[in-house]
Amino acid sequence: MARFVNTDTILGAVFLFLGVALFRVTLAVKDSVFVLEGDAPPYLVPQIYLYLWIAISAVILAGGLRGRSGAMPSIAWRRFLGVISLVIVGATLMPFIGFLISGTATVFGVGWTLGFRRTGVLAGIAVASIVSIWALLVFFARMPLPVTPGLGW
Amino acid sequence: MSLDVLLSGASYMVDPMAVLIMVLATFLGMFVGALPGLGTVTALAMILPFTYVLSAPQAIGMLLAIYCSSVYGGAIPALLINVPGTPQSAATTFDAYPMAKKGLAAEALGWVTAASTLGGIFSLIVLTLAAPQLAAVAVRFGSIEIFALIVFSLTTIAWVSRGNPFKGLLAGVIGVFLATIGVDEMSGVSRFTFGNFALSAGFHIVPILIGLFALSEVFSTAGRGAQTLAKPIVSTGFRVAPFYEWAIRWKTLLRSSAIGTFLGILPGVGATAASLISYAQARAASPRKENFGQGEPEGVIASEASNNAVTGGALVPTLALGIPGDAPTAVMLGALIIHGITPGIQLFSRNPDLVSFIFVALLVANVMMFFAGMLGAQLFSRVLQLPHAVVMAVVVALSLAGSYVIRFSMLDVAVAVIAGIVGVLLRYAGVPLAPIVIGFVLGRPLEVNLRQGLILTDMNPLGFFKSPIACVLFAITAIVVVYPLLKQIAKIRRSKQTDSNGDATTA
Amino acid sequence: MKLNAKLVAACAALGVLSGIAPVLASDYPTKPIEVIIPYGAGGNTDTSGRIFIKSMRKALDAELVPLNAAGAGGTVGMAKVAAAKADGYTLGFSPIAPVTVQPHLRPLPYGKDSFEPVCLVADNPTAVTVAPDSPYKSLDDLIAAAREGKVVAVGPAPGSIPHIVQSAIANAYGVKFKYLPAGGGGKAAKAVLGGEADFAADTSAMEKVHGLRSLAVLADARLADLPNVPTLKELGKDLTLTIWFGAFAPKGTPAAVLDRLSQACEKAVADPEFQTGMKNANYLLRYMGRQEFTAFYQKQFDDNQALLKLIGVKTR
Repeated sequence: MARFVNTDTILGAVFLFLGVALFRVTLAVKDSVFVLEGDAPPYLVPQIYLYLWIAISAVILAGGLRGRSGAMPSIAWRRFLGVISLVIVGATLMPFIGFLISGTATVFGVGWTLGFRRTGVLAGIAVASIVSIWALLVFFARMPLPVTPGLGW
Repeated sequence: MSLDVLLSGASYMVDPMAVLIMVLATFLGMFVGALPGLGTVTALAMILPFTYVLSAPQAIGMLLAIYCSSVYGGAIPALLINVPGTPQSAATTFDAYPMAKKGLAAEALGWVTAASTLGGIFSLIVLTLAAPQLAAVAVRFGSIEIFALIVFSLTTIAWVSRGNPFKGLLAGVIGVFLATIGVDEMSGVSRFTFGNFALSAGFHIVPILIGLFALSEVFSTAGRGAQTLAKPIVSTGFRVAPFYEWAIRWKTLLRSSAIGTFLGILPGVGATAASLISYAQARAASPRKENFGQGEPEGVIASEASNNAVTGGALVPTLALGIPGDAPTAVMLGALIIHGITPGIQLFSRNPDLVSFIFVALLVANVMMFFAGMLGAQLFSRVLQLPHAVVMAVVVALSLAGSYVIRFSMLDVAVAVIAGIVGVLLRYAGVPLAPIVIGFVLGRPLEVNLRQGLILTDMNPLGFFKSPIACVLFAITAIVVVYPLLKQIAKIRRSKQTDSNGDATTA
Repeated sequence: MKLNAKLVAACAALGVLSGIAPVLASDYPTKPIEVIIPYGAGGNTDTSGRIFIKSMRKALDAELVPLNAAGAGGTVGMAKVAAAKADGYTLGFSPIAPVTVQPHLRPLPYGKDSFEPVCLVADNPTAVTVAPDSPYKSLDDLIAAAREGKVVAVGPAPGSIPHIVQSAIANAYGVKFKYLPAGGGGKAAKAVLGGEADFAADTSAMEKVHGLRSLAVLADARLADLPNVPTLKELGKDLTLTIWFGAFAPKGTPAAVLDRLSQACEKAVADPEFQTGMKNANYLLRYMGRQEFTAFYQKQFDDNQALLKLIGVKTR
């Protein structure tokens, strides 16, 4: 059984499933609002892509089941998941608490999780980098980033 | 274009103010290009208000300087932190980053800068010599011809993938599929949006790039654990390789510049595709194939010469027909119009001075770009002396901000984060990420031109073969696909033959 | 200018502190106004929008910031405007289609009543243009050819104004054109010059910018720039279609703020710099204040729905 758990079987199976699921979406098509005379059906091209998608995934899955491909990668899970969660949380909070706060916290958190432990230096870098990004984008390029409610920046 | 007209164009350059503005613009463009999320278009749009108060030559000089140096600037983070600053520099990461990781940042900066400058100058020579003639050829490339060209371009996916070819193909299919998400403007149907209105605009290339390259790099660094966070030995500064190093790679330089210029002239393919395609062509043709992806200078040359060569190419239809070759030239066209200059056929006949000034200014911009890169490199390469953990943390902040400002949409931020997670998982599964980018940038023009072609031929795909240009391109595609296969088969057969011969003699 | 805005902001802050914070139009604006341009940088809407914003800065003596929010035929940007806080600090600069055509074509998070029209600034007639070496010397030639075989028209995606124009002309003459959705402006010009399409039905500027030849304009009277080109009315078909550009605020923006914006807009449109800028960019100016533009917008909204039905496009 362990023989079947390799990156290729997982990759092939996931994408085979996704491909079939997406293909089903194209079948449930409501009629288009404006049909241009002579134009191909709107789902023709995505369907061609999805046929290829499903076929290629199946080939990869088959290869994986024959056990041709590599072992599972070794991952430093705590660090890996820690950084990913920090980025997700930072991105999710951005519109609610503003870029300045969420960005600074994220830079600090990611730096810390990746093993940089000089707290003062890291805090300084976090603030400096976020403030300079803010200055460049918001003041110079005039491109607003999410602001902290009640503060206006 | 005769010499005296060129000289009269050069006389505008005597204005010291114009030169000063161009110097400032060069540094600004390099900087903005280097910030992920702020591409060439943003850089141009940012300085548009300033151009209003300038004279027309000053404004043109400023825009051209920004245009060239922002395309170049995108390569800097590509080589330093594996994050393409602009989509055009996606292919630069393949070899420039490994080079810098080996501790050769100064050399990488040298290759990138010199290749960019030479590519830019190549394209401007083409522009100067033959803009009106080439523009007349470019309009002959209709939907069917562009479709054929894109089909050919897709074959490059094979050359940017290593390992299992099916994984490269899967990545390519994911890319073209992602390009179909959103409102299909030709039918008004919202495809794969699942009722999310923000998604109806479709994905933007920048968040996808930020996710696949920048965030996935951060995540994969985290996944590798502590040992990889050691500081690499770094050569800082700027070093252009000696002449013989260039001499053995001249073919790639020339080919990539030509590919960039040509794809720049044809509206609809774009600089991102151009650099990926020329990277793939370089790898296919190079005697140093095996080194590609591990810091081969030829890969750097291929990407950077061609994306900077797009600048001169894209200006061909812009100046000669008033038809912008790509998004940046569309912004420049708008700026020229505001200054009362209407590009088009009449510009060359009525205003030859101004046209030749544009050529001269473009040359000056490319040369300035080289020196700006040289000076800037002293500063940029020090980024690598910072602790890797800190650099990665700042990359996260740049990624979040950069993907947001593309369209001021949280959806783009979410796309970047998801692309980062999926990207790192695909890396673990041995799926190359570059074909996703190639598929995505070519996916929309592929579908649109296919459907336009089908409208023109009344839904008869065989009608595509009535176009001689398309036939030639389809034939080349067929050869490119079939020839390596035949070679492979011949090789297997030969080895079998020798085997059986061997058997015969021993028996 | 910036200093001034800061002063006003300081005064407003003082007002808040002392407990008297009436939302008066005289307080407006106290911070930068974001103007959403629902198309990418460099396009028609972007060029005219930026010229407009520049003169509005002077007229309003405040900071206005253009934001390009492109996507899905301009609807993503205008949806942002419709959903923005109605405090006068978010405006939209839109051409005719995203606000009066697209809502008929597919479900959008905005509709006829989602905006407060502020002012109309430009109005370009459309024209039928062919390649300079085209065999068609008049609209009649083109129609005759359409009766016999296939004449290809080019323009942006279906539901765009050029698509409607060619469809309406075909309808008026009882013929059919094949429509190639290869894009507007330069892309359309490329298709016509390359021989892929026979004519474009984009703005009348196509002659000047891309060297195409105009066969007819869809305006009430002949244009000063194209004195030799007949109007469709002269040719016996009463068909007028223009591409206009105007500023919009979200529904519910205080009337005092809208009046202030509309007045500033009038000043901006009268600005010589605006006029030369728009002229260089090949726009024909037309100003309408808030009241007039609101009525115009509502009529256009209904007219375009009727027009879409007439040319056989299913509307919602």
